[in-house]
Amino acid sequence: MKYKILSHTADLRLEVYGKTIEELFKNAAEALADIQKKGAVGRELKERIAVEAASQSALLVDFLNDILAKSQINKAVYRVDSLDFAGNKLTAKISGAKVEKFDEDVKAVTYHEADVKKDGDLFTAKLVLDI
Amino acid sequence: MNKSDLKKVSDYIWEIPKEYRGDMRVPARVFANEQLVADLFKDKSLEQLVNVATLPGIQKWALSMPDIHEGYGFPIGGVAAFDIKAGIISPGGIGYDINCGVRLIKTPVAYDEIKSKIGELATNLYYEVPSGVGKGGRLDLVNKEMDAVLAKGVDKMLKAGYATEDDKKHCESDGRLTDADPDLVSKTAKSRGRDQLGTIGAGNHFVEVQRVDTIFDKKAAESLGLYEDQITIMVHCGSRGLGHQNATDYIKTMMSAMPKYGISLPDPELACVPFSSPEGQNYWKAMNACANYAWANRQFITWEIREAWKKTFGGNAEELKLVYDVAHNLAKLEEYDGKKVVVHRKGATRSFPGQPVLIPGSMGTASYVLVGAPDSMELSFGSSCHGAGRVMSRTKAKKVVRGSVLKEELEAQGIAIRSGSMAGLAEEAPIAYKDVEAVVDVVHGAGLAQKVVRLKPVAVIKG
Repeated sequence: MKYKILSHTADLRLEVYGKTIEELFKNAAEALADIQKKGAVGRELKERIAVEAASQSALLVDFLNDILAKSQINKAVYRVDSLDFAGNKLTAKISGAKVEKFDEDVKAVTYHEADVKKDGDLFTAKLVLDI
Repeated sequence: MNKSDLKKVSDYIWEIPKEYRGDMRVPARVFANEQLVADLFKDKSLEQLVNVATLPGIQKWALSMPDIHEGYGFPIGGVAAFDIKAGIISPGGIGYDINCGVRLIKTPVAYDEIKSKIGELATNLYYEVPSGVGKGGRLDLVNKEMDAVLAKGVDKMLKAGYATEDDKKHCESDGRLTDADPDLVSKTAKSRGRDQLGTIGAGNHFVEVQRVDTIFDKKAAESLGLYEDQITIMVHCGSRGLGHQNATDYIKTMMSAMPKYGISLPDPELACVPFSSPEGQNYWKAMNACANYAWANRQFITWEIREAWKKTFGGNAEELKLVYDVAHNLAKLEEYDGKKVVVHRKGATRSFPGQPVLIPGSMGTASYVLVGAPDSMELSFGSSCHGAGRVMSRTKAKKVVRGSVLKEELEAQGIAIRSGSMAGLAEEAPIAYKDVEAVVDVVHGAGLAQKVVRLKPVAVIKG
């Protein structure tokens, strides 16, 4: 399982999983893409993202917010092609499919409860999205 | 937390004492009756309220309105006032949708006069007012045009011919906050907002055609120009992607700056800095600019509504006049007991004595117009609730309600529905919300605002 939607009264709480930190970040981006527009495919738009943050949890939130901003500006849904980590910095190549309309208005990925953890062999992260 | 942690102050006020948690600087207070108190323990809203009570410079109480529900950082329905010298400003206490708000427009016709054309009006509104996520509007705001909207709000719309002087006079703060600096809003935020002026977006945002169903205070209703069976139109939306990005940008800035000011928090989403600090002042001026965009947005939507009205009925659409336009996600500089404070309202409106207070209910139920009451200044920093308040998650609502069935049910009640998404409709089902009657009764009973009229929907337009 790549991610699971959990209960939240007004917004959207989800838990993301990955065998590696790269996979966790990729799956989180995929969750965001699925929430925005289920089944959007295509890779006509290519973008690069560079993010730096004080912690791995903040890095994940900032990374997803950068994707979200590009998504809203270009009216596209993005998936991650590659990721390079250097401490709490990352660079990513992403590609996007243009969409006419999104399913859900994701306003932002919040830092509320954002927590990247490693349980045994599995990385997990909880996220709350403002929708 | 459970009910035993709450101390009953009156029939409508409950208090979480400062002793509940060691890091609380002030007690927390909840406006609720016995019925609504039962809902308080179903999510994390009260824990979030306690977290607010820990913030530096907070005055008197961390407050929650009767529509409180779980948010992120602050609960939704939260109010907190901070000393401008010793206190903080927190984007999470205002929300991502800066100056999300409600506008009520009155028309010169009664329901019976246009009953047969409600469907046609709903369709014209759906096409004139762009809705849904990613749906752009009529304008493309770049460079100086965008900056003028951010600096001037409704004044810019007035100059461009999309507003009247009368519209401006009926907006909170005349639809323009002067302490706004467009240069402090990022390029990314401006890019997100460039084609969104005049659009409502999705989620719980809407345009609704209503009829005045009940009058509680005839004199107050007359002074607002409202009468029984009159048709009104309500708009609910905010600063769209521009405001969302601005909050994201400044929360990030504040998280980096907090160690410098020795601030540590129980939840990073409460990220804050001293109000008087450079970062605090930059956010303040950027937030005000986003608030101006939101007022311009609701104003341009009003122009679109007038276009739809003309298309449906002909004639002069300027006969559609504003009752009021109120912000419900905003921080404002105010003075209480001779002390200047920055009041954060997240999912809460101002309720100054005599000011119209607009409380939309859930889709298909009822909305209320109230006027602010004098006690609000003492009890709630001049604040009231902003809506009915959710009790069920969107995910669960979609599981238990089918959008197409809900549409049929609402239409059977005589409510025309125009929605771009059946899933979006299901998310906003009345079952997902508190009973607006109970919420408004608390506001009225506690003396925060007095009921004037109730509005029932006859058409709902949403993304």
